[in-house]
Amino acid sequence: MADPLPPSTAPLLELRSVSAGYSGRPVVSGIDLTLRRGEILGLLGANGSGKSTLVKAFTGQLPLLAGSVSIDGIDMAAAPEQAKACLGLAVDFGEVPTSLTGRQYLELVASIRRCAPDAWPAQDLPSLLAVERWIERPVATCSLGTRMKISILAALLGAPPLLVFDESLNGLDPVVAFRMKRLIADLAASGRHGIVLSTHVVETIPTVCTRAVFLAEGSVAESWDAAALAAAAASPGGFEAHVMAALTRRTGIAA
Amino acid sequence: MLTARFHPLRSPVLRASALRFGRAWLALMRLPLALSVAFFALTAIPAYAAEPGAWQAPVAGALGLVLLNGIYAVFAAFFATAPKLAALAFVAALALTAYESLEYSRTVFLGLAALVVFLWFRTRRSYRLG
Repeated sequence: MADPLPPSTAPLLELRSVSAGYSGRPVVSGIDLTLRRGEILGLLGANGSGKSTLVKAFTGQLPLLAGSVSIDGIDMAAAPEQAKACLGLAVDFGEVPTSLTGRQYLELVASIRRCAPDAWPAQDLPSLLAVERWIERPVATCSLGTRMKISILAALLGAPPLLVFDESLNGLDPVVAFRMKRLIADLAASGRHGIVLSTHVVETIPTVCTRAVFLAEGSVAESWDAAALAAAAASPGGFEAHVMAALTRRTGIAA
Repeated sequence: MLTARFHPLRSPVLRASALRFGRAWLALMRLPLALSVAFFALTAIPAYAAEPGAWQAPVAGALGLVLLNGIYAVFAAFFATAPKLAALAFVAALALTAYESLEYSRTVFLGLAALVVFLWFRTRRSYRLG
C-alpha cells in the first residue's frame, strides 16, 4: 500500500437533510452526515431502519425526496456520473451477474472505470480474500461468500476514494472477514479513502470504525465519535449493550 | 426475448457506476441490432444482386430497420424489468400509430416520436438518479 496522505478536512461524502424513499413515501428523512478521507463510518440499525435505503440514496440509485448528496465536492444531482466516479460500491451478492465468471465481472467493472482489471489499492487482493480458485468460474456456481468477495474486489477496482460496503462482511468466513476488516482499516489509514460500512454485526463497529451512527425509524437516533466508540467498547460486550439499550429505547422491544 | 437484454440498466452494477446512460444503452443495443442487420442482409443482398438499379429500396429498408430497433430499444430500456410488457407496448404503439395515421396522416408519427423522446428521458433520469 502507498504511503499515507496527510489528514484531509474536506468532506468526501456529505449528506444534507437527505430524505429518500419509495413511491414518494420517505423511508429515511432529515439525515445529515459527513465523511472525510481516513474515516470509517459504521451504519447500524434494525431491519427496516433505513440503512440500505440510505445507501441507495447516496449512491444515486434512489431519487432524493429532499436534501442533497455530494461526493468529493461533486453534487450528485448536478453531475451524477462524475460523483459516481469517486464511488466504489460492493453490490449485494445477488446483484453480481450470474452469467459471467468472476474474472469477466471484474473486467466489466474495470472497463467502466477505465482501469486495469487488477488495479486494486492493495497488492494481490484475490489471494487475500481467498478467491483465486473461484475467479475463473461462473458466478452462478459460486457460494454466497464467494460472490460477496467478488463484489468486494469489484468495489475496490480503480481505488475509488469513497468505498461503500453494505452488509458486505455477511457470509465471509472468519479468516477472510478478519483480513477484510484489517484491509478496511489499512485503506482508511492511507488517507486516500473514506469508508461506509453498513452492518448488523454490532461488535464489528468499535473494532473497525472511527465513527458510527445508529438509524431507527429512518433517522439518526444515536451517533458515536471515535472517543465515544472507544469508551463504549471499553468493557467486553460494552458497545453491544449500548446499542441494544438504544434499540430498546427507540423501538420499545426489550433486547 | 431481446428486450430482456436491457435488464442490467436497473442493476446497481451499472447505476452506481460512472457509466453514462447513452453508452450503456448503446452497448446493450449492439447485439439486437447486429442480429436484425444479419437477418435483413439475408434477404436484402440477393434482392440487390438481382436488381442493382433499385438500391434505394434496401437502403430505405435498412434505415427503417435501424429506426425500429432504436424505438424498440427505448421501450426495452423503459420497461427493463418487464420484457414482455416492453414488447407489447412497442407493438401497441406502432399499431396505434399506423392505425391513426390512416385518418390523421403522417403527423401522428410526431406523437410517436414525442413518446419515444419522453420514455428516453424518463429512463435516463431514473438510471442516473434513481
